[in-house]
Amino acid sequence: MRKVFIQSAVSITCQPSFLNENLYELKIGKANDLALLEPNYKDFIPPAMIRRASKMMKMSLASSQACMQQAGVEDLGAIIVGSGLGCLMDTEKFLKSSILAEEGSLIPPLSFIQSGHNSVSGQIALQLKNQRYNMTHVQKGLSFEYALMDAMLRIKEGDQAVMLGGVDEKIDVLDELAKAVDWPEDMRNELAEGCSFFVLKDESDAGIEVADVKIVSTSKIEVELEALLQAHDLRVDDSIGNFVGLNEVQEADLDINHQLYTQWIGRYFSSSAFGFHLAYDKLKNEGKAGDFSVVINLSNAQYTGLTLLRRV
Amino acid sequence: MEAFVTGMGVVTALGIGVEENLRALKAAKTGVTLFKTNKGPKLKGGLLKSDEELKTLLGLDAEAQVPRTGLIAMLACKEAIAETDLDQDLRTGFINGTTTGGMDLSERHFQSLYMRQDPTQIRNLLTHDLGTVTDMVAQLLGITHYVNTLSTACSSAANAIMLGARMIKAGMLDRVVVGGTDALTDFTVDGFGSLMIYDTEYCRPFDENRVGLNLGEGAGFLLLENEKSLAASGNKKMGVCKGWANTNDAYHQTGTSPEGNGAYLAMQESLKLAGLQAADIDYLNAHGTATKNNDNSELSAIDRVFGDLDLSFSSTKAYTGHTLAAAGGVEAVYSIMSIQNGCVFPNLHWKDKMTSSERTPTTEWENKEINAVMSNSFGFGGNSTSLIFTKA
Repeated sequence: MRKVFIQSAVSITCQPSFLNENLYELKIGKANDLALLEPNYKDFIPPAMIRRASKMMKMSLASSQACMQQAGVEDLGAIIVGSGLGCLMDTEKFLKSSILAEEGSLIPPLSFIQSGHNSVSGQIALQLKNQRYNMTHVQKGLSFEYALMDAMLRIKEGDQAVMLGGVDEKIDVLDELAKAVDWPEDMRNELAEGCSFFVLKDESDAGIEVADVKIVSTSKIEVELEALLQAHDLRVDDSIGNFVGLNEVQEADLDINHQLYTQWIGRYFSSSAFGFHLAYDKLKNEGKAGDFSVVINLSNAQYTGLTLLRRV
Repeated sequence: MEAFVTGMGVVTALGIGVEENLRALKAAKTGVTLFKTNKGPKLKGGLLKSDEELKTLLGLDAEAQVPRTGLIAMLACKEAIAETDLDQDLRTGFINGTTTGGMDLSERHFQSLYMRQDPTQIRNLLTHDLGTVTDMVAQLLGITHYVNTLSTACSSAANAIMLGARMIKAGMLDRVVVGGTDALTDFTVDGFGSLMIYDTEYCRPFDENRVGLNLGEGAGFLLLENEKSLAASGNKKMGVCKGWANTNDAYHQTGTSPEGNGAYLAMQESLKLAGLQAADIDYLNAHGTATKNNDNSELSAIDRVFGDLDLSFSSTKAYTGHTLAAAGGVEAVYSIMSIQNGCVFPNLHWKDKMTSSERTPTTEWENKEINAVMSNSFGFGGNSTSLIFTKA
């Protein structure tokens, strides 16, 4: 059975994460300002694209490009993106112009074109001139896990390198919606945006393997985690890092040591991609052969994503 | 492990269910009709049933907040699983391809907000995202093991079928309901209008004088099972999902390359995976949207793959309208119908041969043995998918 390794990782969040290593050392406690810390896009994206593109598109193109450079990979067998809500900014923009347009008038098409959920994966392919498999998974808080499963399957099917990303953007409507459904203020204040991109390979120097990913019942997280680790002959107590994220649930009531990464970067549907990045960094910089790390993504009351990374 | 097709369900402008759709296809009768919309009359392939009527059919509460996309998906999925008992100890999945999600209801909130400064309908946004619609259908079916949504514009449903087949082949699932759904919304009608590729007359796929597409709505789903699941369900094999490929044209955000590079690669790779030659394809259900750009590049790609071979091909979009994300699901159902009934569906409204190729679509109902069908689905972002179904 072919194994799956992480070759490179790049994240843009409200923390200084872009092109930084050892992200788990951010240790800055609770984020006060959830405004996205954007890099200088000119270094990665053509100027015409920067003018037209939404925040979601710009952060994805810059991260995926940086990720390719870091990975030193020429060819990708697949580009796979997970996004809970897709291109919200352009969707809202086109909705508005469509609703307010007079009968028979011409509506500018750009925001419609850019509103598609797969415009990020499509644009990355266009930028890299990549004609291979191109997929977008959009299952709310589990979008990244499902994209990861697909990426792992592609490598097991024979791909040598796969681009994998998780991205979501925030618009004001989300705040209002959270208010309308009575989200407590502390949860509402954590709504954020960000992206993380990775190149996965069938082999790598750092030797950080994605050993498993599973969707389990939120009410049985600890039992399920134990079962998942047992299947790999591992014990929870030996983990060198448990990274936990919250989506539609208020808090994590877990009996194991963990770092709540959504405290640092806020809540967005694909935020577990950042947790995945943290687990990778931790193993790469502090781990030794045999060490492992876990990402626990509490998506909602029904489902939780568990991802196991291991240093070989 | 083989992914057997053992159930199918479809809802389009031609009607609800496989039988109604087959009857209309046989009668060469289009489901595209004139609709009144907010922006004047338009030709659309709409299902002639209101949300309320659909809820009654499904036995749902009239007040239930279920987007139209979810309603038609529920009808098609129920038909696809038919008598299959999903309440067993088998790994069961649901993969839905969609682009509009709950947009029909979201529009009502924004309509009231922008037109009357009234934000009170904000709860309509709760069902906006695609995953929520998928969850609603999965809940109705009782599927919890693997529930996922793909969105790759007009190839979404075809990609959902492909992912399901890959997971069965890899031994990750025993059975999976796969396909897609999209309802008509003002958002998409205005979107395609803004691109100026909407025909105000009946669309004419592969006709030299084609102008553009007619939109439609629908849902098409298949039940795929492995041998283990078949042994438990006792379902009959309708066909095999034998080959698939997804590629990217990487040419333009919305348009496709003149040579149809993405389409060419998808068709070639799906043949390779299926272990078939171009000559083995008895019928090709083309994407054939009737836009200038799509039909031109698709036909170029078909010529490159099929060379001098005499190929039966047609687009069924003139019957249903372009059902966007659902198209690959609807056309997968039609492909299986073609295997079961030994027929090629005629390409409606075709008159003049395209000048770029010597090839012409099948325009009369043709009876012949169909051992292998290819179904093409292409979407924005250069997303190109080909599926191959064979006799079981």
